Amino acid sequence: MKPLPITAYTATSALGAGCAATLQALRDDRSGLGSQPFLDATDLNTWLGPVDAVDEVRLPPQLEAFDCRNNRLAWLGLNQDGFAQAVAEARERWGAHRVAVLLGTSTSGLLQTELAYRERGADGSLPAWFHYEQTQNTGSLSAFVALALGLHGPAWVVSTACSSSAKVFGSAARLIDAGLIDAAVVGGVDSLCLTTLYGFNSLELLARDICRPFDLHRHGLSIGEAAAFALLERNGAPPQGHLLGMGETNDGHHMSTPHPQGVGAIEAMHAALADAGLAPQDIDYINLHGTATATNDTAEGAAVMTVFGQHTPCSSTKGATGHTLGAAGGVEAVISLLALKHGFMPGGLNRHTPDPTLPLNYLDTTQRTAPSRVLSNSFGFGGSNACLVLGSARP
Amino acid sequence: MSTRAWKALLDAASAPYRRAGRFAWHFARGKLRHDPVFRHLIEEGLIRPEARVLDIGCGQGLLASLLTSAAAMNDRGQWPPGWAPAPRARELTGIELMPRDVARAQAALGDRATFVCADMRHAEFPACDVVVILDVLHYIDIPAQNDVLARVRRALAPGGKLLLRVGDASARGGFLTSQWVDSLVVFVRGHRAVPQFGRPLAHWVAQLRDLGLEVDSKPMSRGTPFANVLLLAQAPVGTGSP
Repeated sequence: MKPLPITAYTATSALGAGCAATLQALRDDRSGLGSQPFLDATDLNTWLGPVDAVDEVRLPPQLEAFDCRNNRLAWLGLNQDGFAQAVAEARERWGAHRVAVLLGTSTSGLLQTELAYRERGADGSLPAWFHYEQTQNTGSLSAFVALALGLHGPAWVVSTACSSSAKVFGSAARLIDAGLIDAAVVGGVDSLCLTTLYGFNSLELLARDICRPFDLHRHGLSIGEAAAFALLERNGAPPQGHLLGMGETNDGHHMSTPHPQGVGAIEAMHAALADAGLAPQDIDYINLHGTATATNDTAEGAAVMTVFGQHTPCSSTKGATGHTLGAAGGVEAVISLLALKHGFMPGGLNRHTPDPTLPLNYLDTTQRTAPSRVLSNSFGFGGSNACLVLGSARP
Repeated sequence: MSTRAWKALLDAASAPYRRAGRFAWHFARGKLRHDPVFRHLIEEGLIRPEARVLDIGCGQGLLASLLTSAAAMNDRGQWPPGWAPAPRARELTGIELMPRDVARAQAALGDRATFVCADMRHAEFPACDVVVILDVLHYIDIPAQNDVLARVRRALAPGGKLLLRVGDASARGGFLTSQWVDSLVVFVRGHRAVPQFGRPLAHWVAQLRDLGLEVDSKPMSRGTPFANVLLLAQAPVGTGSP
């Protein structure tokens, strides 16, 4: 593909609201994870990456019907780094119906339904304040963001678990290439809810202490929440980075376990490199999916060694942000763009004992080496794989 | 009232919905043409010029489009001399719970009106001179209906008007038809299955009089099989709400 300009981006996660807070935490090798329980889920002995500022967010009255944790997190994220202003300028440039809103989420506003069920009546009726379509419905996120930004182009949500908000970059590139739109707001928003926490707990995938991607003794995830957005435009505004290529595959192997040799991941990385017209040695840094589950890191490590060998610097930033699920691809795209802009390679935190079966060039701390091309992996349940190649402001 | 001028006004009020998609445009044309209430509002001059208008349950904003188009027609000197003065709204606010309708309204009208995606049970009502509620209140239970009406009363300026269209539950045949059609429409448009809370006309009138409003009622289902009634309730001039 032709390099596609990224003209604005922002991320809000456990590392803080906006790019400056995120950048500072990454440079300091500081994790946003903590062991405080979420709501009354005190029986879950795990670490989480909450965005504490969400509790103070109030939606404007014009968007009141959408009120729930996920849309509050989206609103908080949209209001960082002048992102909404950049979108307003793109809307002026292209027209509101030529700008799409394509976002990823896994559980949308599911917490709202969980809270509503606690108040259900004897006849099973849910409380009057509960609006399913505007909160829990998967499409609520794109409907909310489109209305908030006054955009009338195509608006949809991709929900393919943890690859969701990487895949929307591909959706946007295809729509722009087909001439259907001129710009797109992409990214993802996923927020903490009890179904996610107890669900991953039942799958025995939650770490009891902080998550340790690529550690020999890794024991699973720390769940986080985040809102990450990027604005892709055909041209017209100064680029802050570029989408160079995109690869998407499916393992066709298992509902919740990756293919043991990572065949789908290998194909996704090959497809992204081919799309970008690059060879493996052109990539300076790999932001790994690196969830810290035994199976993901083994399969992904094997796949990366197959495609790149052992020397390309790589790390998982989930030790800092937690696994933000449907927002992870977006968050890690923004982290990659920050690395390209500010000239560093983020460290993969919390790895104490390297896994001898995964002899990668894994960065334990942030390096002051400037990459010019970054590959970011996002792999989801159901074997859904997405891989982005991102480049600096100068393509 | 000149049919040709009325047709021109309907075309103008429907046209912005082309931007909001094929469904929105066809819906606008059909609804404006076949629902007698819109022509009645214009013919009788029920919305006076320079009014601040609040449309509760505004859907895709048809009333706002009609009023905006009326003002534009008047500005072009095309407002028929025999008609009541063109209802130019000073402020237009629409409240609607369904995001798709709000998106269509926003796409069609841009910033010519303010659209609020909110539940009328919780939304704040701005101070206004005319409140329009067409076929909406039966979606919420009777205590909630009464609460909305009380808050409308507080938002109305002295002399302000509430134009409330409801079904008359004492007119059995037409009311059941209304309920059946409404359930179908609500289902097709993606709402949750909601119960409907009807009340006889006399109860509606009594409720409005209790709020200190003067009430007049007109059947408003001409040409349709429904039992709809338009209630015109006016706040007394020169006094605040009781």
